[in-house]
Amino acid sequence: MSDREIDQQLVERVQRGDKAAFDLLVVKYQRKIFRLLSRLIRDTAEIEDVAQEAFIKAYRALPNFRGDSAFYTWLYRIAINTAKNYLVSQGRRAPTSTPSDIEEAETFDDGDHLRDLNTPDSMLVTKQVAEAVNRAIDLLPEDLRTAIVLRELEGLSYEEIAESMQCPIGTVRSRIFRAREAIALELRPILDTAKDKRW
Amino acid sequence: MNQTAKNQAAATGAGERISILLDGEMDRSEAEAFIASVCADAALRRQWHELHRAGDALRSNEVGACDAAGFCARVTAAITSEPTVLAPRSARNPAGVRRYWIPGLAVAASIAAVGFVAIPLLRTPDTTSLSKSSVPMEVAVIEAGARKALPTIVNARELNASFNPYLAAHRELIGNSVVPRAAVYLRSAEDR
Repeated sequence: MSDREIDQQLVERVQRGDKAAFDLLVVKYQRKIFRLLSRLIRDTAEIEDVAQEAFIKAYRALPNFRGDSAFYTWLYRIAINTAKNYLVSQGRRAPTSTPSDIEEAETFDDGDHLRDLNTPDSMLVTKQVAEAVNRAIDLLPEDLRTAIVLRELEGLSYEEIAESMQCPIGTVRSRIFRAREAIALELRPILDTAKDKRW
Repeated sequence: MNQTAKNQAAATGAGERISILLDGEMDRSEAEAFIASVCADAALRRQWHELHRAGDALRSNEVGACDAAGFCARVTAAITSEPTVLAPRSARNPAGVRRYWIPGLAVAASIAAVGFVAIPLLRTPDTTSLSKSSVPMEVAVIEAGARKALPTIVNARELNASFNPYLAAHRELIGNSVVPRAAVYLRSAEDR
């Protein structure tokens, strides 16, 4: 099942009244939306507020979402419009909308850098995350490291990784999961979700 | 295997399945049911979050700045106070069936009816062979199946013979009409 189909499944669940499905969409896209908003808004706290408003607007508008475009493309438009309205309400000039805005939604680079968010706090967390990820990668056995790099950084499919590593697809699945789990374990103390009480 | 080990194995199995789902490598049939399980289970939702975050952290160190503590909690709290959204499922809406299928069927039926009536009329008739071949066939049927009815037909032929000049004139006339092909079906008693 493709990424878009997964989103559509989650959207349909929300449309049938399952609010937990919307949580999964928020988790999936919050970082992407933060990066996007950081292009328009400089202050981290303001980005959070606008992102929250955008997600709530999306939730309210979800009954009208018919899946003609990808969920993220639709969410992107909502986030951009929310940010523009916010800037106007603050008496600041909103960037002019261009047709490329919408095209950009499809190609918006997930690895794009946050703009102008170099506060001491965020810089510290960023540094800690980098160290944790490097530490986790260094500690991984060679086969797990290769599998996760081929998947996350090179974007290869499981079949391609299996071919490249000359092992069954089942082994690839297991290696990728174990590598992700190890990285998640290293990140947990830094980005402790204990503060995040939603679970 | 004790209960703790069993739980751990189950968690690993579910975690691995989330990982497969995130990579878009799960079969559609399995994915639908599994997404429902993740939505219903807080532990699986937490794993969904952590595995997403691990992937994001690999691609960008800025995950920390983007993973604002409490952000999801605030969105969830706000959503909880919202009325539950319920959207009609258009694909399963019987109104859709009425709107698209019934007119379609009506059009198809009309085309079939027009074809049924028009195609025989538009066929190029071979009047000579038709009139000639129809005679032995009819005679054969009459002879094999109903010999007693034969005198009646012969009598009818004699009676109708007087109309032959009229029918010939009529056939000539309708040859120029809007339905010239109908002439094929007009026969005098001599044609039989």
